[in-house]
Amino acid sequence: MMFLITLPTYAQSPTLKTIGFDTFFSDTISKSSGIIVLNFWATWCKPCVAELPTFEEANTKLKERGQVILANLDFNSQVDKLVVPFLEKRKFNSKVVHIDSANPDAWINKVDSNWSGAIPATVIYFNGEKRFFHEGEMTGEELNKAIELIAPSK
Amino acid sequence: MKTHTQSFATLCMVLLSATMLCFTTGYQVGDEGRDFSLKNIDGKMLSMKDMKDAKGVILVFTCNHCPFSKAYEERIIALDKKYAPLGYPVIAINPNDKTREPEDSFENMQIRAKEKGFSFPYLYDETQEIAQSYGATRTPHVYVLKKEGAKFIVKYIGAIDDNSDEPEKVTAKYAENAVDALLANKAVATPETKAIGCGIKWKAQ
Repeated sequence: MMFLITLPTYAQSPTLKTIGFDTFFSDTISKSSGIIVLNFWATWCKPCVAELPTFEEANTKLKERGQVILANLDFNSQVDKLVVPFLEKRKFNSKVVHIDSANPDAWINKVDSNWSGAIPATVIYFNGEKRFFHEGEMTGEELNKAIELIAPSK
Repeated sequence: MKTHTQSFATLCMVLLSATMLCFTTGYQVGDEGRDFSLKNIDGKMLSMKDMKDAKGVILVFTCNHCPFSKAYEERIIALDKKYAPLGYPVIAINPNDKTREPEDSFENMQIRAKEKGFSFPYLYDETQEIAQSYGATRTPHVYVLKKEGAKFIVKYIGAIDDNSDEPEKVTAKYAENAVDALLANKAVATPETKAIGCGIKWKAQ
């Protein structure tokens, strides 16, 4: 029993399943309670990769108030080659999903009608409802401020 | 991007009573697209009005470094080869700040165009004024313009097609469909689409 308890737990599974945005939204976002910070990123997007630590930090700070989900938008064909090794190296605590990159016109407007499709982009949901959207990079301070406005920490 | 977003937010606050204005930066379909004079990779300045026999232009904001732009290079060449003889040549414009993305410098544009055998002009929007006027936000970002008299009218804004990653799985060739409709004097059925892309690298303040 002791042996089992001391086994390391991996924050990130070595494979990453591709999911369509609609399914992801109905299965995860719409049923969620508290805060979900959804950050769209890709391994090829330098400003996205640069701000990932900010989102990891926010995930740690959120605790019982909610979580950060990192929505990866690398090409479907490059998930195993690029994204999985990247995740193994970085070992994020935040949940990571890969969103199906085909036919983006069908779902970009569902995320936010003001989103052009450029990344990074960040959405904050509270109890499954969208409360914040931003296209472009965010500093830790900006992200904190946005979260505090929606669900203040005690 | 930050500066861009901030000044945009300030504008929105100033114009709180006229909120519509917050959503109309850049061109909408039906607007007149401004002409420009930008340096081509051959060192000469080029404008849309220089395309004497053109019925319109397929304007593509793109760049060297972005994987989406790279994924579309062959398809942009194919668009030019198919539509330039029909009166709709491609003009590509790189709007990225070379300080933020050195791979997108003018010298690297010349190298990339030569390597890939670009059949079309590839212009450098060094001040980013043209990308801002058009409202381009990502690369690649396409504007199909039709020449009406001396004016170029925006008829399509968006993606080239619906699958950047796997060309063989494309089900809707948005840009081609738009040009085909214009050549047939018909309305463009899907005048606006969105796609994931690399955000334009705006200059830091």
